[in-house]
Amino acid sequence: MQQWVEQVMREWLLAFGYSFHFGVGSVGPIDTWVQLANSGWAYQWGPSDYVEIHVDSLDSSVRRAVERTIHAVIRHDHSQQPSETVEAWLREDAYRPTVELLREWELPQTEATFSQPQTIELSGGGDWQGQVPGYFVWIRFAASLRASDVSETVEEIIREFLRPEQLEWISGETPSILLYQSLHSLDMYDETFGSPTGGEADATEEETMSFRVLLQALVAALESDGSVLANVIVSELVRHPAWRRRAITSLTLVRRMAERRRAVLTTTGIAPFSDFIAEFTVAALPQAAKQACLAAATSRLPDAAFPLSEDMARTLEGMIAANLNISEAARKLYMHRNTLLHRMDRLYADTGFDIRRFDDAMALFVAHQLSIREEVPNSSQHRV
Amino acid sequence: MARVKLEHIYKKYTADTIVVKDFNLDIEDKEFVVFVGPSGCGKTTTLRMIAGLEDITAGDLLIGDRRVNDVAPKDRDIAMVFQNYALYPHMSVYQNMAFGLKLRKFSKSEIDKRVRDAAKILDIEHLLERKPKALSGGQRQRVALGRAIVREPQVFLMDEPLSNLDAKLRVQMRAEIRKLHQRIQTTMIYVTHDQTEAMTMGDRIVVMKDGIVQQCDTPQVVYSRPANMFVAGFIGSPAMNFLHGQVVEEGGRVYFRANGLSVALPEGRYPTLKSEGAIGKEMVLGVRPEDVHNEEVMLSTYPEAVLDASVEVTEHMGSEVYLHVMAGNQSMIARVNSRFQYRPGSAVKLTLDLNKIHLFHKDTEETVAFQQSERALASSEV
Ligand SMILES: Nc1ncnc2c1ncn2[C@@H]1O[C@H](COP(=O)(O)OP(=O)(O)O)[C@@H](O)[C@H]1O
Ligand SMILES: [Mg+2]
Repeated sequence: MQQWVEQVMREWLLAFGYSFHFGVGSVGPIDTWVQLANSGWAYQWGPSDYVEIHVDSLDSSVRRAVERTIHAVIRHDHSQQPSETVEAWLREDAYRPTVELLREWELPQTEATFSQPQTIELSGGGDWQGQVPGYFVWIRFAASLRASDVSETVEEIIREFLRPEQLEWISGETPSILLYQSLHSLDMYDETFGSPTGGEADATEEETMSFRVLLQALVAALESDGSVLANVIVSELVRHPAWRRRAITSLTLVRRMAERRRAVLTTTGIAPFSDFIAEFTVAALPQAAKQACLAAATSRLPDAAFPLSEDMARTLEGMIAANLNISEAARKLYMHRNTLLHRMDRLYADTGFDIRRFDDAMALFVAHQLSIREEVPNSSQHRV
Repeated sequence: MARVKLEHIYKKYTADTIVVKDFNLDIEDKEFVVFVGPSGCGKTTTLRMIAGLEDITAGDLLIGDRRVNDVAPKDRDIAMVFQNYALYPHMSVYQNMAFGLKLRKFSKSEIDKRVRDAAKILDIEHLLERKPKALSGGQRQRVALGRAIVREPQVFLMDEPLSNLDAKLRVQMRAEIRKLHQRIQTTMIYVTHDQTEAMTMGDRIVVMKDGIVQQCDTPQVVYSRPANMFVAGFIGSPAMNFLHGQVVEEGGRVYFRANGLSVALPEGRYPTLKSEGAIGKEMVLGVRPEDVHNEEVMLSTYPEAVLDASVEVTEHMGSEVYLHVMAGNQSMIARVNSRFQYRPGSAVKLTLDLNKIHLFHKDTEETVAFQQSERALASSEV
C-alpha cells in the first residue's frame, strides 16, 4: 500500500512538477473520500487504512486532475497496476501534452546512468530537501579527451569551483560528467563572481548570471590547467526534490537546442536552461496547437517554405539574438549590414513576416521553432 | 622556447564553412607575434588549434621540430592566458600559481621556487597570501600571467588577455607584457582585435580577415606598406582615407581624378602604374589623416595635390585636431596641429603628401606594387 502510494506520487510529481504530501494512516474508516480543507483529500483504502493527500498547487486544473485520478483508482482499479492506471489516465487527451513533453525530455538510455532518486521523504524535510534549490550540470568534453588520462585532474579542477553533492562520469560518444550543485553549498560571496550564489530558495536572474560566470571560469580553468575543452549544460533550477528527474532529463533538450543554436550562431560554452525559454515554451505546446500555429504562420503566404533555409534561419536567429538591432545582428552573423537587409527583404517576400518588427519576428521565430522541432543535429564535437 | 610553424592550416567546423584558410606562418624562437583582425576572423580558432583545443582540419603544425597535430594539448608544452583569468576563487595567489604544477606532479620545492621566481618577475611577492577577491583587476591579470609563467612553457598563447581591463590599465599592462617577454625570452603568440595593441606590442603582426591572413610583417611595414585596402583601413587610427576615382593619363602626366578633385601622381610611380594596368582604371587612393596637410609649406611642396575642402566637424584631441572635411563629394579626415582653428562650414585648402599615398585596385582591393626604390623609402619611415 505504502509502496503503491509512493509510486503514484512519483508519477504525479513527474507529470506535474508539484509536490503532493501523502499521509497514510489507519484512523478509522472513511466512507469514500472527502475533500479536506487546504485542497487536500482523504480516502479510504481497504478496511482500515486511509490516505490523505495534499496538493501544493494553486492550479485548479491540477487539483481537478488529482481528483479525477483518485476517483478512477477508487472506483475500479484496485487490481490494476497503479502506475498503469495513472499513465492511462495521463494519456487522455487533455493531459497528453505533459506526457509528450516528458517523453521528449527522456534521456537516451546510455546517458541515463545517473542514479535514480532512492526515496522520497513522505513527510518532507529529509536530507534531500535541504539541497534545493540547485542545478544539474552536465559537463561534456571534446571527443579527443581520453578520460583515464585526465579524469583526476578534471575532477580536481571542478571541485575548486563547485561543491557538487554528487558527481558521476557518464560514458557516451564523448566522456562527460553529471553533477548536482545546490546553491546553498556555494559560498561565493565575493566580488570576483558578483552577487552571492546561494541562500534564497528563489534564484533570481542575478544568481543565474553569477553561476554562469562561475562556470565560465571553470571552463577556462579546464582549458588552461586541464588542457581539455568542455561545454557545460545547465538544467532548470531544481526548486523541489521532486523535480530532480525532470531536471536531469531537461539537460538533453537543452543540449539539443544549444547545438542547433550553435549551428547558426556562435555562443559561449555555457548553455543554461534559462537561455532557451522560447524554445521550451514552443516544445511544450500541445500537438494540435503546434499544428494550428504553424498553419496560421503559413497562411500569411500560402506557399511559404517551412522549415526555413539555413540562411534564413540564421538571419532570423541572429536578429532575435541581437534584440532586432540590425547592426548588432550583422556583427553577430559576420555579415555585411546590406546583406542582412537584403536577406530580411527576401525573408519577407518568402514568408510574409517582416522581422524588423517585434511581433513578426516573434511569430516567425515560433513558427520556425515549430517547423524544426523534429530535427536533431548530430554534431557532437561542437561547443554548445 | 621554440619556433612554431603553421603550414597550410585549415579549420572547418562544418562541411561548408571554412573558418581558417591556408594559414602559413613561421614564428621564430622568442618572437612576439600578434594576431589581429576584426571579431570573427578566426584568431581564437587559430590559437586554439595551436593549443590543441581544436582539431586541425588540414595542414601541419610544428612546435620546435615536432609535428604536433596529434599530440594531446597537455603534452604540447604551451601555456595559455585568456580574457577571463580563471583564477581559483578559494585559493590564495600562491596556491593559484602553484596549482597547475601540482596537477603536473612537480615536487614541493620546485613548485615553491618557480612560484617565488614568477612572483618576483611580476612584482606580486607581497600578494602571495591574498585571495583573488582581494586583488585589483591588474593584480589578478598578473596572477593569471604568473600561472602561465611558472609552467615555463615553450610557447605562450594569449587570447585578448587585457580586454577585461579599463583603458588606462590596458595601456600599462601592454608595456608590462612586453617587458615580461623580454625577461623570460619565450615565444609568444598574442591575439587581439585592437590594432593599437597589435602595433605597440608585436615584433610581427599577422592581420587576418575572414580566416585568411592578409599580411604578416613588422608593425612599421604593415602600417606604411599595407598589402591591401583591408589592412590599410584596419591598421591606424583614425583610419586611412579612401578616395574613389580614376587614374588617367593626360599630356604625359598621370592624374588621380575623382568627382571635383584632381591629384597629379608622382612620376616615380608611373612604371608600376603602367605595368599593373592602372591607367584608365577605377582606382582607390588611400592617404592617412596625418599625411593630409594644411600648412603653407606643404601646400607649396605638393601643389599638384591641393584640394579645396569644407570643414564639417572638428574633433579636438589636445595637441592636434581631426578635421572631418568634404573634398569634392568625398569625405576625409585630416590630422592637423591644434593651433589651427576651424569652424564647421569653413573652407580649407589641403594637400596630400604624395610620398605617402597608396593606390589600390578597385576590383581586387590589392595595393599597386611598390618599386624597389619606394620600398626602401617606405621602410625607412615611421
Ligand atoms: N565551435 C564552433 N563551431 C562553429 N563555428 C565556430 C566555432 N567557433 C568559432 N566558430 C566560427 O569561426 C569563426 C571564427 O571565430 P573565432 O576564431 O572565435 O574568431 P575571433 O577570435 O577572430 O573573433 C566565426 O565565424 C565563428 O562563428
Ligand atoms: Mg576571439
